[in-house]
Amino acid sequence: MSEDPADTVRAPEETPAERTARFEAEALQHLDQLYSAALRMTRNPADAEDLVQEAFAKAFASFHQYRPGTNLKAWLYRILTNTYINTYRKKQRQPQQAHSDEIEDWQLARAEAHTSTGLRSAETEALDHLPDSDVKEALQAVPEDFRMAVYYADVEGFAYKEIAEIMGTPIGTVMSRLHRGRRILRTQLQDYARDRGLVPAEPAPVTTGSSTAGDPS
Amino acid sequence: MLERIYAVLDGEVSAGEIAEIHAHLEACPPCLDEYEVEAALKALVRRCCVEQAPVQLRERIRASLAGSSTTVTTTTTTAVTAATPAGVESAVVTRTTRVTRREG
Repeated sequence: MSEDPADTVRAPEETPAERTARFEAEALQHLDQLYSAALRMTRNPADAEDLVQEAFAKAFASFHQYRPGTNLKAWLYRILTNTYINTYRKKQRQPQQAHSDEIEDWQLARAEAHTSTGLRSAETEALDHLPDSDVKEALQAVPEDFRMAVYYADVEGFAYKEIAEIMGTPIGTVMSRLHRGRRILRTQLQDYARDRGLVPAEPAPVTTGSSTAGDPS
Repeated sequence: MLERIYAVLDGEVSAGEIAEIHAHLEACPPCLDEYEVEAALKALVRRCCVEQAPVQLRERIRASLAGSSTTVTTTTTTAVTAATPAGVESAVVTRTTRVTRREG
């Protein structure tokens, strides 16, 4: 019998108990992060728990396919994403899906319209004072693919390449999702800040005899 | 410029490019403002989205891993909502069934 180098590189044979222990030690430590991501996907705790449990069951079942030394967290996220797409997204009601494109267009149009308003330094200040609940709510309103791209980049700090692998899209798509998601989120947060009186109401587009130093345009 | 600001904030550029972009930001107040808002936004999302998984979820997953070798553990969680004169009380009833498989 000749030795097959491809086989010798493989992880050593382990007993089911050893594999379980290794999975618990290595994969389960990412539970909090996966749960946070699942909450952003499903937008409710009960579904997030079910989704995470299902994803971990799948990950465990295919743990032998995971190559030690590669990015385990990204691997788990990919399973979570696929589980979500295959089971949970289908459960969502169709009418909601049909409307999402329109909502998205509208949100983007608003986000673009806001780019030239001169609220910036006040805006940075206001963002710091927003309660967590506002930020979570604003994020929920961002269309799913954009929302998750923002989540992966900002919360998990994944590189674009990793996000592309997790979401199964080219890097260019990741960048455009990030761009659009951030613009929409920013517009939403400006609204929250304004509602809470953290920033002055949007300046009127035309001012006569203005005494303020407006935007140089 | 916004794409480049994102690239810097997301750690997607080389040290040389960072220096170049920083030099631009220092000379260009509108871009600097934009950078600061985007940096604040990124920090805010990070701060607000860190959650802890419920303890029961961790236990359920552990139990199901153990179950796949010798024991099958089925946990049924039922949310029971009962209306009482004082209002509505909710309780969560958890049922755990343990089945041990014997082989051979």
